[in-house]
Amino acid sequence: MTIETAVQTYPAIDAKPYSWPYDGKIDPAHTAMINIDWQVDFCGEGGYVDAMGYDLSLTRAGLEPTARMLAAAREAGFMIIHTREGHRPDLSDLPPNKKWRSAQIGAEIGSLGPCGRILTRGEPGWEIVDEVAPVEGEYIIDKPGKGAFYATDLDLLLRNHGITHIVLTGITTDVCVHTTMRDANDRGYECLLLTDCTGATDYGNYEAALKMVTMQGGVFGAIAPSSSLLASLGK
Amino acid sequence: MTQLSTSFDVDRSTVAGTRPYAWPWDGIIDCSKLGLVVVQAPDSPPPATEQLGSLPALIESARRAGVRIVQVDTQPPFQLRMPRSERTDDLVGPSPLRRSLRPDIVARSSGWNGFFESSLDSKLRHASITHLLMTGYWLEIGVHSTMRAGNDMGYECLLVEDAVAAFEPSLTGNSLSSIEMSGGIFGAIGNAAAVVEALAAAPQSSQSASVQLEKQS
Repeated sequence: MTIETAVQTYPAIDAKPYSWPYDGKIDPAHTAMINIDWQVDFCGEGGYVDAMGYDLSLTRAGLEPTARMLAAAREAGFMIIHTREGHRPDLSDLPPNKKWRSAQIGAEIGSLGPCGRILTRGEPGWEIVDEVAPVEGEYIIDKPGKGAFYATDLDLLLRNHGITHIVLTGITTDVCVHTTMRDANDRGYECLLLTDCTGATDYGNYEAALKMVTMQGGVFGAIAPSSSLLASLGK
Repeated sequence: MTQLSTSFDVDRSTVAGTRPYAWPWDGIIDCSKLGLVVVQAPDSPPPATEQLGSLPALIESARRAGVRIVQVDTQPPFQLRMPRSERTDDLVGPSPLRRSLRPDIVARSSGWNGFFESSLDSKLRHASITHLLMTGYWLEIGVHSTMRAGNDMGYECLLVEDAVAAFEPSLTGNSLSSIEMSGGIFGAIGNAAAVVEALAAAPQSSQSASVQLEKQS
């Protein structure tokens, strides 16, 4: 697909382990920002992560930078995609081992918590938090697993929009963000993970997940703080 | 899929010492439903045999118990691939691991996730394999991507921590920790000796020796 209209492009940014993107410029017509699982269940009080007893400040840390980046990406004309992990109300898309494990740690998927049924579509805990909530015209991918490509139409949406480059934010870094970045990279998308726009339930795992991206000259893409991308976009 | 009530734990059969839970979740070790997944990255120089620790012994024990040996080849995404002439296999020949593997199932992925554009899922389903023992190299690259994908699909995975090699050894601890978070977010972790012991005690698979699967991916 060719975009004939004159679209502004932006310079490549300082990133690790190489200046991103590899092909030298950021073209909003071919770039998607994918915001992974900014849901109450992962960063809100009474949600799934809170119910398991993890420190919410770690998963909430990236919210403010992500909100800033999201505003800039909207203005620049990136395709904006939000993902949500959750299961059908009858749990027919929930693998039995996933259900069992969540029950073992006292936060059984589908059971009633302070934010409604845990990780269940349509419940308050499954909604994206206000700070980075989708607006009209943006895409939402509902996924049953950790990876946003598995059992969803994400790849088809990206292809139809001519997307070749992906900027990632979201939670948690080492789980849903990493799985999605790995699978996007396998599919040939040129990926950038924004280091201050993501967080994990364990800080060491967050740091290790970032380092993994940069192995072998960028085995899964590149990483950079959002300030680098904002600077390129003139913000 | 077996529905198991957790109140009937007396009949559970699990691998000793796995974390963060006693693997597998359903308490059933059935060698005919187990696959020993050996992930390899044949485009890169293989790890030294010592780095793979207990893997050779685990392969032999699993084979004796009737567990299917599953060779999964992962590689960099298409646009990053080395020319064919630069692949390690072409330069120095297959690694000792590769030569001794004698796999029952072979799948070659088009990326680091062994399920991506490969025949792996259909071959595992055809063989009625639901539980995967994850081994090979590299831990934080192909092994992790493949385990993540398998877990999303419902496979019950155990990473055998002394039968994997990390590309960057300093990342081993966190690679394992990520699996253990949230009650075993991608499955569980165990060691080869405990797996061998559990396999020896499990009912052996009668069909596996005769199962012939297409070995080309």
